[in-house]
Amino acid sequence: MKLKFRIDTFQLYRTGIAIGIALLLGYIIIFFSKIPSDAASLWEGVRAGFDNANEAFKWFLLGPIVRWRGNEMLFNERGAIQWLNESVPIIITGLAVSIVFSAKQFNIGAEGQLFMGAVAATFVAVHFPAIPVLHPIVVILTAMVTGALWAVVPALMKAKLKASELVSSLMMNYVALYMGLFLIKTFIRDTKAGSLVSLPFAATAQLPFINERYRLHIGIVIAVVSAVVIWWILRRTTWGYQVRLIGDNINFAQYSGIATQSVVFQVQVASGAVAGMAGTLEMIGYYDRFLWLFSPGYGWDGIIIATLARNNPLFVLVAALFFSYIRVGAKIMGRNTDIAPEIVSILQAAIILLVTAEAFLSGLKQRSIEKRARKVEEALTGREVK
Amino acid sequence: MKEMHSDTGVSILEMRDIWKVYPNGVIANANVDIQVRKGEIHALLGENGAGKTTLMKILFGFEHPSSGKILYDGKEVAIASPHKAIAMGIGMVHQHFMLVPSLTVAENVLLGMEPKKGLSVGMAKAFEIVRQAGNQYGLSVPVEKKIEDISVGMRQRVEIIKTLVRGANLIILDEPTAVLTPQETVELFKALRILVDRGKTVIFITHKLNEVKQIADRITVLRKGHVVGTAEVKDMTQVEMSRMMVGRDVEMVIEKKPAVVGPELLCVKKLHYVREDKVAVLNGVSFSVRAGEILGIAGVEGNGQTELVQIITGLLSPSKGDIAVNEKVMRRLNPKTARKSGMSHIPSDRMVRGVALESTVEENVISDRYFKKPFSAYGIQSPRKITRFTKGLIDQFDIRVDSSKRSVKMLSGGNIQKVVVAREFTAGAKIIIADQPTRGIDVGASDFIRRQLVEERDQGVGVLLISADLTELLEVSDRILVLYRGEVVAHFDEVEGLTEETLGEYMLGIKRMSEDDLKGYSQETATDKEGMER
Ligand SMILES: Nc1ncnc2c1ncn2[C@@H]1O[C@H](COP(=O)(O)OP(=O)(O)O)[C@@H](O)[C@H]1O
Ligand SMILES: [Mg+2]
Repeated sequence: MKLKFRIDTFQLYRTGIAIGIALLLGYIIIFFSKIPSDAASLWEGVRAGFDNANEAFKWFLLGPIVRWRGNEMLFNERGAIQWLNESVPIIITGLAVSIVFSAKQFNIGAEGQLFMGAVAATFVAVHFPAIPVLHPIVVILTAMVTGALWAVVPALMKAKLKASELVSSLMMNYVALYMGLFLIKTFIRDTKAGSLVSLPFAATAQLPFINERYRLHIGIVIAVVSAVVIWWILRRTTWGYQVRLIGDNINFAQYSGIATQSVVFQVQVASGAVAGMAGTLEMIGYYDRFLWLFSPGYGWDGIIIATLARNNPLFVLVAALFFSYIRVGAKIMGRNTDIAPEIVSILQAAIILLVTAEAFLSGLKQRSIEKRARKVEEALTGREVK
Repeated sequence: MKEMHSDTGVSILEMRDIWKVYPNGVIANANVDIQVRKGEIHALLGENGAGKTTLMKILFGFEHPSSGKILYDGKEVAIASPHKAIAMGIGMVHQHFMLVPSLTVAENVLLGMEPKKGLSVGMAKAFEIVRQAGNQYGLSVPVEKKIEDISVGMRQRVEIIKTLVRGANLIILDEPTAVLTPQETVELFKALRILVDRGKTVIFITHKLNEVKQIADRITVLRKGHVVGTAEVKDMTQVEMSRMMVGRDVEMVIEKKPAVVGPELLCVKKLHYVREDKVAVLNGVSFSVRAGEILGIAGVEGNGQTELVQIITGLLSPSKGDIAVNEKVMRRLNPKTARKSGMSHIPSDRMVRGVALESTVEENVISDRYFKKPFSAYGIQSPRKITRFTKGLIDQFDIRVDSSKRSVKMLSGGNIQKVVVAREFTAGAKIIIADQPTRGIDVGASDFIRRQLVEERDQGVGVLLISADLTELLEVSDRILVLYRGEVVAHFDEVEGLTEETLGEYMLGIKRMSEDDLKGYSQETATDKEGMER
């Protein structure tokens, strides 16, 4: 009485439909906002609305990879590189979050971990003896260690005091922001610069470029490799097995003899280490100094991406590239039309809501399960079933 | 065998062509028709997993059918929620009671009912209402006592009174006797007779044939989600019913060779456990399990069995006392060290502890050995070897699943238990703690598991069997202890000739062996008690 039914395919459809609905929603919003109020007739107004919305969507959907010379479509190298570069930090935070979420821990401290990681990395990038090749490696390792240490605090509080990691990791984000800015301002500020930025990094700290003109750095390669490695660790090693078992049923894991407390601790720290390098890659790849005045928000993006990817590191890659694409598309649309690029936030919210809402399309799934169940039953009993 | 329309009585309920497919794809009910007459005791008979509870949950508005029609008092009805069912006059006593332990009987009965307009119900008044409601149907209960302080049989009465006070005319009892001793069962049956004499209708779910013979007027038999037939009980023999229920003749007797007993493997010494709320659940329990024997533990649920098993398997720390394995006292006992010392554990709460539901069968059967060869090397798993091993277990234990990579939640209850058993029986253990190993699973799977237990014992493994099923306990065990209120109140070194009734008397606390007879088992002394106080 069991059925061959791949629920995974269903999730795929559901995500696709959610994205479709979100895009449609965006289109409708633009359409209504672009009907000129002084249109000669209703018909004229509607047509103008469609024309404007089509134009906007052309930039939004194609802008990151296409540019136009007259009517000729050319590859938009600058846009594509921006797309890849912008995806790097959110791939990394998506991975970091998917590690903790795999064990059903609710650590939302990636934002603070990457911020502190970048602050510590800044000191090393500026002061560390300038040895080529070694320098960026040491910078990245510093960021990872700092991120891990930053994650130890809520992890310890959870293990020793049973303090909710949700609350403590959230608090640590604020501590990181203000302490980080204080450290930069006090010890490594470039007083010659007009705004609050650090001294420039040593040239040796720079990540190698793949494309120097538009500054495509190897951060994307590091991100993709990280995704594959983390996927492998979670899926193929005994450590990853423990993590997933804990995520599925921690009581069962404990009963089986797994040292659950210690694995949970390791998971938090590993996730902190990964998150730690998210901002640093961008900083030593695309920029040449610490220049954040407030929290960049990548940690929060990571939560969205991990959720969308259902904690699968390979899907994290896809989800992050997708988000980065629509964001770059929105910016290009904003430059070429007068539509605010913030509309992309509405789209993101709609997608997340639809994908995480358990009930969305679940009736459809239940009906298809029932249909199959009846077929199986008919085959088994030879009786016709209504 | 179907005789849907030859009814002589007026029907209070008809369910027609009911289908229920759960979200995991299990077809729990298929094309089910059932008709219940006013004023009868109608038994719904079927093996574990046949779909009895599901059908009744649909009737009670707890689950929604995929399709089908329900007629109540001749009118077609849609039962959207239990609230609606109660309003219609349907009451249900679930397999697991739904009472608040810290509240009194009266409070539990009246919980959630609107007090009459303008006046709130005072305590004295509440006691009176509940007492009267009970007495009317011969169900006397200690209204002012807390639920946690009364016996399981009493709790069940409270559940029944709860439905009556809410105006139930049709009362559904889901396997009410599963938790009762033989003596309590007799009491329950008396009460059910009074209920129908007063015009109520009862649907009685069970898989025990002798009970059907004793109490029911008619039966409807379910098998694998389908109705096999409906019949008058007086026209049927137990053998006929059993054949309908299982689909074949069942050979239930397990051939047991005399036990060849070896050295002491597990020794429990003066175990005490005091819960967080200061209730002493174990009061100086001592016993030992030797190689090559099955020690059975009888007792009404909630007399310390859960805590005892959790302490032995390292899930819980005792307040006092020791566990020794192979004559070595375990200092730092936790699930990991327990398993290392050669213990394996079939937990009673298999959905909570026995499996990880979203994980695959493969992932579930290696959970205690994933770090060993051949399942992994240098911290890297060997997927192909894991798959091969799992396929072997699926064959050996006859687990009904089409792929070793299917997630466990897609399996039926009996097959989930086989996954647990397959893992625990192949762990190479010297001691097996089997806690309710056959609860809620079908006859075939139960029989298989019992035979496995006996086989392990013949191989020289020591087995500790905790079971609420007295028939099973008497059939499988070599020795039996009875646990009552956290104490060993009886021990039987010989199971031959022992009856369920005798066990029942000790389980209820009616009888108790003298300290002399119990020497070596219950060692409650004055000094122990002092220790507890601190
Ligand atoms: N909530 C549920 N989700 C999925 N499957 C279920 C659920 N409840 C019961 N089942 C499955 O449906 C079948 C019938 O179960 P149930 O109605 O509890 O049988 P019974 O009461 O006769 O023992 C079993 O195979 C069981 O595993
Ligand atoms: Mg049931």
